[in-house]
Amino acid sequence: MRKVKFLLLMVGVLVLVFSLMPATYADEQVPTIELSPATGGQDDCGCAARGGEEQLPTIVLSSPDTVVTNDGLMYSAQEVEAGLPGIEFSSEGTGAAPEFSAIADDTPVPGLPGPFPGSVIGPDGRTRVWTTTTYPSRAIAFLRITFRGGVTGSCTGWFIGPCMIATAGHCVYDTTRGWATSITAYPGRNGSSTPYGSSTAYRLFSVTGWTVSHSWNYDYGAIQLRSRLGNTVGWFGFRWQSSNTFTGPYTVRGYPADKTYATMWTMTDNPGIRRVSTYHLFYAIDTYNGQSGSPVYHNYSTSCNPCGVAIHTYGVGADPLRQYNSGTRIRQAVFNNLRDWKYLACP
Amino acid sequence: MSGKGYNLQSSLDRRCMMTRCAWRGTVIVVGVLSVGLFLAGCRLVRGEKDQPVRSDASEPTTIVSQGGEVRGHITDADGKPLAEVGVAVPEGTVAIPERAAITNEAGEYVWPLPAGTFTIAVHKEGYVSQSAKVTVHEGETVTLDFVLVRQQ
Repeated sequence: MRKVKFLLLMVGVLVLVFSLMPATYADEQVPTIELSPATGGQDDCGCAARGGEEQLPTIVLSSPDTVVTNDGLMYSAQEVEAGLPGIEFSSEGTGAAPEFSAIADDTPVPGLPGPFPGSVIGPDGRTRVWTTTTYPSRAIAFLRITFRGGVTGSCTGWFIGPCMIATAGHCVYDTTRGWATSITAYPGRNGSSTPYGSSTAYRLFSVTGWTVSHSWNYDYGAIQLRSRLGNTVGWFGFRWQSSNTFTGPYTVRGYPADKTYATMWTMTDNPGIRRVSTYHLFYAIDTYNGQSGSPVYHNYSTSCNPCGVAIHTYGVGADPLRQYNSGTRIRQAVFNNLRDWKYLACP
Repeated sequence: MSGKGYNLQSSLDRRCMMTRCAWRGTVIVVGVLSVGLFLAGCRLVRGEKDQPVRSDASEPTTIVSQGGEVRGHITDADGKPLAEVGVAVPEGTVAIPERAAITNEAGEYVWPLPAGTFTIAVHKEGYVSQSAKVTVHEGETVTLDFVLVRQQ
């Protein structure tokens, strides 16, 4: 009799516990994995030896920063270990590149004709990056993307590791077409010149806040490449801060569609960040379609230079005050995910 | 014999006590594990939440919605399809992320857009850029073709 009572008590306790546990955020039932903490050693690609699909299942949490991938994996974001600064370091890579005829970056080149205000705020302040083989320009990639239904587009991405590129969520996942069916990255592309070749995507990452809720607050993602081009072209550092004070110059550099096809353009503004919110940084730096996914970066320290603080995503139209362009701010949760993705073992 | 019987009873008593202890232990362990699981879940959820830096009450939380699409064919004045034309949406009644569309080898482009009115702009080196306004309704496909003229 006592045994029966004990059994009933245990069942009751378990039911109570599971009913009080947080509900699953995602609507879809997908396999889940958990990545191990950032304590692994470096493997031969420079990626820390971290978990992969073979990890044990875990509980899917209710955070919109819960990670999803194009091959159906889902796992919870990791917390930053206590005491660690919110900085991931930059790397110049080997820089090995073929000879390239360079033109001074400051050479004035007009954009293609036709005034289209949009996210070019006032006079167009962007200048063409002619030398795309120098760091950090070579760590920025032109992305050619295909979604189902014949949707072909372009974005910008920036290396954060040997085989990992950070970009906007909508560059890897379209809210109507789903995951991109193919993405090809061309680091340092300069028009028809692709000095480092290209690499196709192996796996795509974003978060449920974007793929399920379609919230622009969570519009960020990443592309894991099949090759380790990052070891050659280098990668950006990135960081997060709780303070809303962003002083000094900031730069947005990428591949706008209103210029010669697949050419890199840049603009720096000081003060670079004009307004701040929890999820976004707002700036008067000119951008255009095609620049989604571009790094919003500055020189933070010797170990984080360039140092990304946001991922460019929207033009003026998304600003509630219709003043500035904006990027998804690298908050702590974004930082955690980018860092986890960076240290995934390369394919 | 009696000693053996006594020992057997004693042994049974001990075994019974051990069983009770095991059950109690199980209950305690399960209870602790349950509470621990619950607290761990709460802690993780708290950990996932963003740093409360500033209220975003004024910001819309969702920009993109389901809608229709704009598709078209871009050619030069001779009717030849133009590939790698940059197609953009610089303005609209709904904010669109700054991805660009690109024409394929057949000069075709497709852009899924939410319901609203937008300016579609097309750009190609060596050609005069063009733009046109288009209204997209829910579930509809709007066709918008362009014929680009070479720059003088």
